[in-house]
Amino acid sequence: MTRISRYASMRGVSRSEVACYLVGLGYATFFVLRYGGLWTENDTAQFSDTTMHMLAAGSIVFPGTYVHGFGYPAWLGMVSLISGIPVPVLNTLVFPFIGMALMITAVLATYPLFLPKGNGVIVSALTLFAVADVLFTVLRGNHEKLNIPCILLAFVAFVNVGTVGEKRARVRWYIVLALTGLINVWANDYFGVYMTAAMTIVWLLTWSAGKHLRQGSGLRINHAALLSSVAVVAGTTLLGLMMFSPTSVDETIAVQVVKHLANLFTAGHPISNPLKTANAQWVSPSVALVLGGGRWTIFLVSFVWWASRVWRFVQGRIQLTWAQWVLISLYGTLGLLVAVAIPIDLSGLALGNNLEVRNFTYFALVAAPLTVWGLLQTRIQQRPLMVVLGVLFSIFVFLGQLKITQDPSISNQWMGYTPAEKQATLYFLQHRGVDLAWGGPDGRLLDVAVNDYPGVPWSIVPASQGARPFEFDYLNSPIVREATVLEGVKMPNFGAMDRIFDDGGAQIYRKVPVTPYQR
Amino acid sequence: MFVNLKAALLLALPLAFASHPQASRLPTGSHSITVVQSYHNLAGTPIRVYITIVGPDVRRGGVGTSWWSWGNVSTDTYIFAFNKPSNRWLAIKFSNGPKGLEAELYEESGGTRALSLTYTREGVKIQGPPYLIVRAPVGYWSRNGIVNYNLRVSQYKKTQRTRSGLQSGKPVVELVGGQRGVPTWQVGLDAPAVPKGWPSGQGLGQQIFGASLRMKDAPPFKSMKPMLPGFPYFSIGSLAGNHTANGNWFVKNPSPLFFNLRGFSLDLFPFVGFETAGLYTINSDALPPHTDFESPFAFYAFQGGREADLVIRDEQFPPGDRRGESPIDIQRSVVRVSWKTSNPKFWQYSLQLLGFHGFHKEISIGPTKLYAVRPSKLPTWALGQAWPYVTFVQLGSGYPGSEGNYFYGGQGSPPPWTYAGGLTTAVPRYLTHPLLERGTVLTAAAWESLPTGFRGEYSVAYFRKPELYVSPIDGLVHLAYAQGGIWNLGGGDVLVLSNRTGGKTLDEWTLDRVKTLKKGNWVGTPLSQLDYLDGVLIFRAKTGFRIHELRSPPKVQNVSPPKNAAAWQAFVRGTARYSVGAPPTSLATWGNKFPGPVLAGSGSVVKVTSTRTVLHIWVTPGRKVSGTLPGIDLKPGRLLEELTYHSGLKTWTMTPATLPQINVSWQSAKFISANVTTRVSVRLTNSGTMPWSGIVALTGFLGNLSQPAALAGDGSTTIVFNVSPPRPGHGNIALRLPGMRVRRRVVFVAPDSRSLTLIWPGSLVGDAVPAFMEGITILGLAIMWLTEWARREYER
Repeated sequence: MTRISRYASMRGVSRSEVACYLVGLGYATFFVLRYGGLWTENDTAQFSDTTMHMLAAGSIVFPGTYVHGFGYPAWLGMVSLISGIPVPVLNTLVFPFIGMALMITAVLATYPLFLPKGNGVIVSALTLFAVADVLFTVLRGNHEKLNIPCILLAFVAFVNVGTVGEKRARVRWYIVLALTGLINVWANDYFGVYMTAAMTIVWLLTWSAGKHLRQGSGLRINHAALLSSVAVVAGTTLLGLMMFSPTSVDETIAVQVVKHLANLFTAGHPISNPLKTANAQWVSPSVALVLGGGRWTIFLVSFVWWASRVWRFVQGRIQLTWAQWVLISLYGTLGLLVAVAIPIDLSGLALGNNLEVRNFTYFALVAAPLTVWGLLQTRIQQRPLMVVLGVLFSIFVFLGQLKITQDPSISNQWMGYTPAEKQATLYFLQHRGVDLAWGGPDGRLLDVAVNDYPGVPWSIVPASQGARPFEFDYLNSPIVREATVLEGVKMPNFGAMDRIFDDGGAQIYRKVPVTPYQR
Repeated sequence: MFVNLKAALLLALPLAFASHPQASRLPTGSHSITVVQSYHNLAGTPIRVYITIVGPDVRRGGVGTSWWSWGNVSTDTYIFAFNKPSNRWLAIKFSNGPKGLEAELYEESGGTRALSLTYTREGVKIQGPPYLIVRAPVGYWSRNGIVNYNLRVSQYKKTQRTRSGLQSGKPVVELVGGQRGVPTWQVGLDAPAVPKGWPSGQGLGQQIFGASLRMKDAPPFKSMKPMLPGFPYFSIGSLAGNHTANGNWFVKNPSPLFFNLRGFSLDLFPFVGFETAGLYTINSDALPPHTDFESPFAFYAFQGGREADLVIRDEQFPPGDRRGESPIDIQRSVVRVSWKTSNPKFWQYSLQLLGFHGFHKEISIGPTKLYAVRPSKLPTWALGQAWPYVTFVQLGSGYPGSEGNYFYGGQGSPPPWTYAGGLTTAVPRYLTHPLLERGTVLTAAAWESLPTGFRGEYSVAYFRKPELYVSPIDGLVHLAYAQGGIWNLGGGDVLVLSNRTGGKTLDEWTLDRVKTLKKGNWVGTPLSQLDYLDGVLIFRAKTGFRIHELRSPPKVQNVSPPKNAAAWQAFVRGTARYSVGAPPTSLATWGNKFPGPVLAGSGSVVKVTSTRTVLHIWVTPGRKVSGTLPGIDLKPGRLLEELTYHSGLKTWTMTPATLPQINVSWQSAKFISANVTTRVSVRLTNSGTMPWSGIVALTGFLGNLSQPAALAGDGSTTIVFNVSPPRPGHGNIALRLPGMRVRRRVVFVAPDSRSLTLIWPGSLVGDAVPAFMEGITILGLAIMWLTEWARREYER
């Protein structure tokens, strides 16, 4: 630790920052090893599958391409080709660490803009660990590993453009904006539009409050440079949409925005998304309430502080730095986008109905420094209170770890699977004819099939109403049986079937053929 | 379906000649002549057609010359007006360009407004895009009386035509090829309907590709007399409708470019022909080479006429083609083979063959290659290989039309494929309970219907080449190895045909009175029944029974379905006497033609079993007994006797018998848990001498399950039900046996509970590592948090 600290300090990295990385990587290690590396969920499985298809096709556009962006599969596939590590292994065992490191790097680059130098930055970064939603987003195998750092870095550039006087320095930040904009939109077009919308709204707020900022806080803001940065982001987003448009290249940008807002960005229905807010997923409603404790505490504290800052600023009682103004307006903007997402989700326009969950992640990223800023400015940093807060946040972190791994002690839906189940799944996929298999009442084993054996037709079907008449193979295991108990689904009658596979931990049963056409 | 209609009456009398009223506006060097001809529509109303020829060399000929010889078909324009000169609804503009001769056909469909014409220096200009462009690349339409049938026809859809449509829209392109004045092939692609990059072998949901091939032994080609001999593809006339099927194809082909005075509309008809003998066509929803739907549809003539005597329609979908029924990842073929006998107007028999045979070799039709078999080999391909699922239909006294039989075949419907694709265990219901239609009007339910007089037979486990035979018992042609069948007798009666022993021939005929239920379903109540087992005819009815030992069992006559002309003639000769058969409502009389001893009684035959060598008949004699069988002395009034017949030895024996009496003892598991499969067994014992068989059903708290069971006389068996109780608690279960009283008992089901906690079963590294990491992480975080705050406070 001492050596690392010494090395880090030589590189301009503080000991606290190194510790922050270590905590993050420890968190990722827990996530990966909770089920011995055998975990997957809907998006992770879909992206493993998409990446394998992309590599097989040798092109970023191929039949069945992920139409909302090629960035993540291309990155994952490239690393797989270079390293020789299979895509599913990379996506579930390696990329969680990379995603965590990228997020911490982006956070450590962003938060110093908003907070006074010192420990507020580290505390803010650590506060994020109490928001399980954010960590799940960067740990699971999807494009938000790229979207989160890109959006944070874009706002770093935005803040710098607004204050940097020298033209050459501004150009450097424009390049950063262009690169982050392109990577962001290539990873997912929705987040391209999201980032453009957020930056545009922040600029509009700044422009409309320009006189007040100049008179009240003495800020001299380069509105032209800010407008240019919005234009750079909007332009690169538009360019990215135009360059990768497998569905329709002739649609106007307005139609694209409407369409992608409507269609959203998930690769399929998020059967096993643990953050879907469904209380039925957790063992009891009170557990669901406690699991959201970290999220709601940060939301509450940050909102109170934000409201008080806005109120006082409007009354002219406080002055704000340029970065603080951006933080305040960004908080309002991203909060607005969460609020907008809720009716969209409720209207059923969005695929998966989890837009507000997606948007909340970005909202939490700005809520964390606001929370700490608020705490720093109040008198609650007394030692006993600190201890209480520390313990409370530690509990939130602990619960968050259980939440993002869908631990069976608190969750009724699981993301882990056993080697025996994996073996049974592979056996079925290798020997299947034209039939489908029943794999329990949820999509867990379907995700296993898609993630670990990409390219194989999705043939393991979730059956919410028990076995269906057209299925002839049934995968069973102790976990599948638990799931049927919890979901209240009728267990298939295995006694009347042939057991055609049994590896000790999982079995495949087949309905007894009755006609000459059933084999 | 082809509708035979009167041909249009062409008077072709030139009534008047006149100079064109607008001759002053003609371009320099051009001339025009207008002639008037009279036609009649189908109602007999005369219609005047004003034909104006415009061109540089238009000259009126001398007396005795035909009006059509005054212009040419390479540079002139022909404008057609109907009823009055201003109704210019059709125009043909000829030109001779670098790509060959070209004719542009313009029309104002439906005769609502006139074509807009202007005269320019270049000639006549007709506003708007043409409907058809016909091109002869070799440079002539007809030479020395031989029509050139090497053409390219571009058709612009009427609904899509706009003023700029010709420039932007793709046409439907028809390529035609021919030899010696006869069109021999035609291929057409509906390019506007096909999405970019659409793969071969994937049906679109509408026909996008068509091809026709004239077979070598097709009847002579006949076509309607053209209006312009120099442009021999065009004529004007009246047909009953604008659909292709309204053409009078069985007399002669209508002109392919046909202006129908009914509706004043220009039609493009097939050049080669339509559903006439000697045609081999493809009507596909998918692009070649892997075509689907009607691929192929072939018409064979054995009597020399233009109407086919054998038609083969293969409705096939390649693996993955979503246009077909599920399951889509297998090859699906349903071949409908229909044939006529001596009457060339009516179809008599059909076989419908369902299975998984596809085509693995390419053939060529014009420039197109596609997977199929040659026309001459198609009958052998269809009838010379084994099929798993077969139906056979005798179409009453004959069924008209050009496409053969549609009934009782399952084409184009999900149920046959749901079964043959292995997705269900239930045999499609239409096979045993078809919709009983009164008439032969074609409906969407034809695939599951049997009109009055039609007889259908089936086997869903055929797996052999189609074979037919003539039964000596009923004197009709049957499908060999059929599992059963239905004959719709009309008047609320059906004759149910059964194959009890699973042999080659049907052996049971049951006359049922039908009671109609909702949605066309029905149930039959037996009126009488005839079995033919081991050389013995057993007739049963309410009035009594009749057991008839045939002295010399008659032999069945095998016949082959027609694969070619010779086989067709052999079939017609061999089955000529067997189209009507024995009277289906008088089963009792069927045995009269066979000599042999007969035992009759007023009682009933309770049960019959056969092992093909030994026949058992359980009979209650009743009050009256007549006749006798060798060695049998059946007394009236006895309760139950078992008659045994050894067919090899031709000997009879009789023993007293008792009815089956089933005793039940439960042997269920001691502990039943919810959501866990458990065995519940039941011991059944028969204390009677007569065997018993039936479906044993378990109903109630454990779910509904059933098992077939069979018990010999004085025998016993154990039935095992595997139950997976859906919920805990207790409740009644009941065991139901047909004809027996219900047995009930109470069962208790223990609850199931959740057992999965922090321990995850079978994890690779156990739970120690995650737990350790978890602890470290949390501890580290807590320490970090407190340390950072403490340091900050210190610094302040």
